[in-house]
Amino acid sequence: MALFGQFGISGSALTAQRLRMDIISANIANATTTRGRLVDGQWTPYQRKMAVVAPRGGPSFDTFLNAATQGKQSTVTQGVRVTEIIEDQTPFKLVYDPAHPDANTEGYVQLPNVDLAKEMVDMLSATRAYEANVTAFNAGKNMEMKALEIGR
Amino acid sequence: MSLTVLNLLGRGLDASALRQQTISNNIANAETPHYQSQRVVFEETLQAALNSSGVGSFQGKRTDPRHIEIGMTTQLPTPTIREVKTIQNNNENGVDLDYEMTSLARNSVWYNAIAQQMNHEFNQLKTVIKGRG
Repeated sequence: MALFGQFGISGSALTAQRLRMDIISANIANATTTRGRLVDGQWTPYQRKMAVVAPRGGPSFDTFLNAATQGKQSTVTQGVRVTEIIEDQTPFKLVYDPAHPDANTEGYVQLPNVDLAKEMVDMLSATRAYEANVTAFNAGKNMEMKALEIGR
Repeated sequence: MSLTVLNLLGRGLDASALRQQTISNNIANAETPHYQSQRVVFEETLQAALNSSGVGSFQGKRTDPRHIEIGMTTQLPTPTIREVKTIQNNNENGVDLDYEMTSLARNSVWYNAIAQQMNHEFNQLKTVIKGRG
């Protein structure tokens, strides 16, 4: 058993939640960006981004080998990690604004598929998750400090 | 006798530290799709081991450590990890964050209690060795 394993676990979660927060900030900042990417000479709006998370050090060859040779049922996975950042494939919003420089011939503008309410909810959830992980980290740290006092 | 108590307390600390690790991991994966929360099983197995060989039960005297034990076991159970199959979330995540946070607080206090008790045992030993208070 690794003595300081819990710090790595909570730390990985803090990193992951911070990355989620960065992505949410980018989504909110680009909520009205009509020139996100140039595709075949045509500007397409910014696409909403999302983080995909998975347990770190999940089922691997080592896990199964240990289970087979030492009879260990399962071990603690080592935290969480962001495996990829994907783009939301929902259609863009169409707004009638003929004066806009990116309006098409009918006067409609394609706006990013960013929903501000959704981003706010995600932001709250990321904040709370971050706080929960900080609490877990502090609890673990206090336990280690207590262990150092044994036998003093 | 005192060594047995220290062994017991040490194993208790092990279990508590492992539990802290699993709780941290559960909280870290509170929003991971398809993740199932893990629990540490120790106290029940320890209780069962103590009950089957506890105080008052028959105990064989051994004159050699290689003899087969009868009664009181010196083999303490090791803490094991078990996965709980529940669904708390739309993405098939099984972490109950309220439960994890309460477990975290309880486990922290529990660890401190065992550490304190261990300190007490060592202080008693110190007193015996020094021969004064």
